[in-house]
Amino acid sequence: MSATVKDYDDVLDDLLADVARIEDAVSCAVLFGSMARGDVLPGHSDMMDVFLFLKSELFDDKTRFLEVLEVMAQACEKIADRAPGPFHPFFYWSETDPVPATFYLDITVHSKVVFGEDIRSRIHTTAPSRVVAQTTFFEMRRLGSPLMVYLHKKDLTEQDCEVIFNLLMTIKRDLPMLALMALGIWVVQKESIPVLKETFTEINLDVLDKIVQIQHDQAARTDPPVLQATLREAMIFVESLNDRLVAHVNGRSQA
Amino acid sequence: MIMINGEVNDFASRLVDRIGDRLESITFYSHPFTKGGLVIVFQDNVGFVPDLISVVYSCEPPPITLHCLRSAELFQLSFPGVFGWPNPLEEKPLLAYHLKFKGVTIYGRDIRDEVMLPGDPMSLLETQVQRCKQFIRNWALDQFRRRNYLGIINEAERQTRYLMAIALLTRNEWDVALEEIPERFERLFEDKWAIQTWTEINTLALHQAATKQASRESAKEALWLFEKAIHFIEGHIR
Repeated sequence: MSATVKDYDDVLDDLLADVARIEDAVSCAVLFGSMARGDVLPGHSDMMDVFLFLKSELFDDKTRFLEVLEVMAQACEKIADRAPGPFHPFFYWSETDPVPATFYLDITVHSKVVFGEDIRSRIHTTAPSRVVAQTTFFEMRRLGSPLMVYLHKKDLTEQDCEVIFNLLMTIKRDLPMLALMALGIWVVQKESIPVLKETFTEINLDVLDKIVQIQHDQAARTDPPVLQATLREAMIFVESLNDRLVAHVNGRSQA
Repeated sequence: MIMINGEVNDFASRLVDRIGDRLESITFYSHPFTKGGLVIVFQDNVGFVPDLISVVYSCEPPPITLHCLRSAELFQLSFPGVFGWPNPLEEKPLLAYHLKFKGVTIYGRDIRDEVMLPGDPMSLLETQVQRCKQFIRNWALDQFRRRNYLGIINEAERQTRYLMAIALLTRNEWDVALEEIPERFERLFEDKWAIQTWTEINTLALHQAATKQASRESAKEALWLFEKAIHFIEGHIR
């Protein structure tokens, strides 16, 4: 049976039921990502994009911390069992700690408070964290290196096709925003492609539309020649961005 | 003297046979927390780099980290690194030091002089603290459902030691053997709470290793101690 948006909502409801069990320890739960934006692609959107902000005093109370940890671990297991798409655990965080800059805008702007008090105006980040965000484009490109074998691999399996599709989705979803961060332009994920078009007028972004087409076309998602050709085109796009960002960083360091 | 194992040398030979005409250099670095890695530098005019990277990975590399770059991209080796999964230990905070001062050129020109050290080790420590809060917590939650309790305890010990190693960078200490890190940290930071916490995690890890099993309760205990270790070490950030 294919996944639906309701499946995602049901799993979130389960999480919130678990959060209610530890409500005295929780300041706020913030939903971000596709569920918060309302553009879930059932079966493909990941979950659980939630920051669970815990009261800071919890981190001084061993007994209560261990009780809360047990509830969070159980909640995580339930999400993994029922997740209609790729799963990763939610994040737990002290309400007073700075958040990673990479997530800052998505947590504070394109987000929904799904439990507790709205503390988003108090969420902050730090300069070193912004440096990490500004270098993440290059790191993501490096982490994708082993997958370049798919540019040439013959006889792609169904699993290979899934890996390529997920890589294409990552490129479309994350790299425009990360490329802009490298330049010191901070935008939420959803607005990143239009801003990228304005910023790099000479770069061909057509492949991003092709990825969206594949995203909504089940046959294309499992078609090896289509995926392999799109991967090549996507990597040409990534390398074009990379070349400009490398020049930007080297130019800045020489200045 | 860094010894390079045969597997790494064999891989480098295969690589040179296939694309030696497009390579500038291959350099091995060791890393106290991992098996180290190779920095493979392509010539600047090699064309479409992903095709070359594809060749690198088709040459059956050993299970070490590979950095495939052009010389104009060497600055990336000094970055603080990425957050996260699936590898909870990011080599980057120590990489530039080990590459620059202990790297071994296997092929081509020596790039070590061009490797820049991170400008602000205190920022590396602050970043590592945030990395622990974001991804080690997150990783551990996932390990509970996998019943990998021993893994959680061992990782809590390793990450605490790694935090201390990165804290040592702020005192200009980068070349410290794995087993000497806690003692060096204790001597330079005089932080009895952090050391006591690490000792408790280490005791837990040694005990579980001896019995080759771990309980859910002991994994939770290790995570609590890890939270305390983060808290104490974070106190040294100014």
